[in-house]
Amino acid sequence: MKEGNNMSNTEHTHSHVKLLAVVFTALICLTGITVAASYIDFGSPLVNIIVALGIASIKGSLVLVFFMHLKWEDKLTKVFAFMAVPFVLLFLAGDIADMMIKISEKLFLN
Amino acid sequence: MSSGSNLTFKPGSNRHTPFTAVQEYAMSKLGMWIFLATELLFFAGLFVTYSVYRIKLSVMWLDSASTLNVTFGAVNTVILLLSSFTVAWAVDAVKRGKTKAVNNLIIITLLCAAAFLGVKSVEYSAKTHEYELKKVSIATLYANRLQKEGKCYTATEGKNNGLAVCKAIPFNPSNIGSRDKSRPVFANLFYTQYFIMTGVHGLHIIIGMGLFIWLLMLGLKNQLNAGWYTPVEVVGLYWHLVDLIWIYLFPLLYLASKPH
Repeated sequence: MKEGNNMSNTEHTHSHVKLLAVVFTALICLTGITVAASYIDFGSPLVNIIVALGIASIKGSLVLVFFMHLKWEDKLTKVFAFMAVPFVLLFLAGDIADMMIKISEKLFLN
Repeated sequence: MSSGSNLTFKPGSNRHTPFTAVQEYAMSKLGMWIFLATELLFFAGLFVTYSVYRIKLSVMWLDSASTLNVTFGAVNTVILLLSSFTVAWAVDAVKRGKTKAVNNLIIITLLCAAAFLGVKSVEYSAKTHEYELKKVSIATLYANRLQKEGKCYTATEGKNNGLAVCKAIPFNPSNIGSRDKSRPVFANLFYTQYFIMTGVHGLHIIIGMGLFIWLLMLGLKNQLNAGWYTPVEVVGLYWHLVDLIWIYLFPLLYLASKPH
């Protein structure tokens, strides 16, 4: 693909279908991997969930970059695509931290 | 072949607009991305409740999660990924003017969405039948009632050997709208979350199916072409987000409890 396009959609000189098919195959493989990984005991459910979310994030990135063709979008679209992500993480981090503190206080006081 | 410069307005539309076709296309797409950002924030609330209850109720939560059938979830993941692929393909095809292929791809996507809901309905109805749930995973009020009804006992075989288990229903539709306060609508919080998260996601699937029917109608009226394909593009983006949410829901709900 050409770099430095001036409009939001780059010139499509050829079809992306082959690339999309490769991405689809990768997504199916990753689904298999995430199911297989869930049966492995990594020692703690926390590690398991981190592995599962890690694989989910790789799959999500593939969908965003290729299926939603963010790879070929301009900067403005990319900014808006990820606009909500830091706020979602902030939202989650605040709540999880609160829960963790409450649990550790309980353990400490007992 | 199409490029940014040979975009056109909707065929047959004669409205006056201060914008060029390229600007209209770019605005629609950016608008959709902003909408998707709000969708993400909407689902974030559900993911936060998920994390809070999971941490708070750890054992009970994981026990209930273990009664979900991974096969249903995995099959639905594959179905949804396939539909996402066909939508991405449809966008690629319409940009190159292959309008017939677009209609066929949209029909395949619609069938995938219907299959997804089919699997979900089988799964939902299965959850209205009795299961052996570990006593710890059932809401106290509900567990007490089951005990009185003689539905709780100590398991003597299998995974639950030696544990107190009850024959419980994760979700009982007959409880919906019941004024009887002693009957909890849901057996436990995991299933409350499961039904809310997958239910809201399923609602998005139904809305998506409506949008694909609209695209198919536009396609059959020959209104989609290499110059004007904005609806395919934005509905496609919406559908990929629905897929993206499911990519996270699947491991969080179905695989959460596995090594235990």
